Amino acid sequence: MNQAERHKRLSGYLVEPLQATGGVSITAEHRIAMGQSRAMYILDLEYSDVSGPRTRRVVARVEQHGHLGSDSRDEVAGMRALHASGFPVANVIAYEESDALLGQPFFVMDFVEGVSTWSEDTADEYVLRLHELHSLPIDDIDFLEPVSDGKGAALQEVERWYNTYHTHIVDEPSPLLEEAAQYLRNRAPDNDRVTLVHGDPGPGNYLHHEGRITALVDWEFIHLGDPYDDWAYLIWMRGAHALTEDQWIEKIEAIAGYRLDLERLHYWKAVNFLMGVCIDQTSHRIYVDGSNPAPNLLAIATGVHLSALKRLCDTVFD
Amino acid sequence: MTLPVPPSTEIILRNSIATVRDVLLPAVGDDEWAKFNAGLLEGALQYALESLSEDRAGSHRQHLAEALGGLADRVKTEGDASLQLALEIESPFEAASAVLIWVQNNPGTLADDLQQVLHAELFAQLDEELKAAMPIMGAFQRGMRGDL
Repeated sequence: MNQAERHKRLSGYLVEPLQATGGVSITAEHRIAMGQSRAMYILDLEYSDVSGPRTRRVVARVEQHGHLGSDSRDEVAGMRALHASGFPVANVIAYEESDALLGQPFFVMDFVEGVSTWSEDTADEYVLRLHELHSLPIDDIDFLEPVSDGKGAALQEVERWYNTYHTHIVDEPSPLLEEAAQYLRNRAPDNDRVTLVHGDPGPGNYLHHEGRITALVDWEFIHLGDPYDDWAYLIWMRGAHALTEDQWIEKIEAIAGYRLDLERLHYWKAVNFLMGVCIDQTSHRIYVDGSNPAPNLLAIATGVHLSALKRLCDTVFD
Repeated sequence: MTLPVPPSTEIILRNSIATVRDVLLPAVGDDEWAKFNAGLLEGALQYALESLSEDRAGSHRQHLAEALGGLADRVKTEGDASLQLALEIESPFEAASAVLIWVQNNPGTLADDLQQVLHAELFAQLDEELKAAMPIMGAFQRGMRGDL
């Protein structure tokens, strides 16, 4: 779909959620390269509502054929619940679950001021925000899969990612991945605390402006689970190039106020590498199918996927 | 026949890389998404070019089958029924998967020995594929850094 057609469809669609009294004009569009699971368009809008003429900058986040193994349903529900509770999350303006309008489901949210580049000045506040997320009450959350008793937090994540991989295999399975998944099933720890989990936290996935965090972004992997899932992801995935492992652990323990169980933390490190390997497999399937011919999918299907597999094997088998 | 010797795939890919690098990439200006894709396209074509000279998939399949074949006698004498069935699977990748899952569920000397043989072959294949993917991986990393 070309830009003119996309703008025409989006303009008409946004009239109702924006409560526009006339038409909505898209005056500028900028597609950003960050974020591989969604096509991200920053849009400048002009329209009138009951208060008069106005301009508004929004972001349209369009799914990409299930790329990286997630859809927008949990993401939008989670963002709306968190925004309503005062957590720093963008306001979701509209969510289109069908692919009728743009060929893929999408949602539109308010643009939030800030940059996602790493800034050590905001690291403490970020860890605090993540700990606050892990401390929110979850009794009223009915839109996420509940965690089973026993080893549910770990086993559900292992099976979630394994199934994502398995349903996107191209021709042959990966023996090392199959073995690593079994290793993790056999060593799943019992549940500790069950909390909201971001699922993809760390530098690059929060915005900051003038030294303060303005929003946590990319909620597509939000789920109920073990907060160690997030801590491990922060330390060894997104935060690995920002601070050392020891620096992150020291920071987390000081701000969250509890000692980290290093054995549990290392288990979740391996689960996060498994996640990376498995969601990258979706790129291979989608690229080979031709659903999305973009070369970033080839890169994720090959180099990114293999690098994650190497790290998974180094973590599990050494 | 007006073209008795058509241009080789290698020549086409090599020249396409030069065109993407020297013509398209400089022409996309400040369009972040277009620049990201042009850079990746150059890497993708390089990856394809360097994959032309060898059938890595066929080689991986053959070498893994040979590694599994080398385990057959040991599995026949020491393995249980499920392990023996695993070795009978036609696809070497599926067979190796089944054997390595068995290894995880049946720790011991036999499991250690099977794992050692299969890991040696599979890690060699992993390293070879990682090396082959360097052109596209490098382009992706540069693109994510905004360094194209």
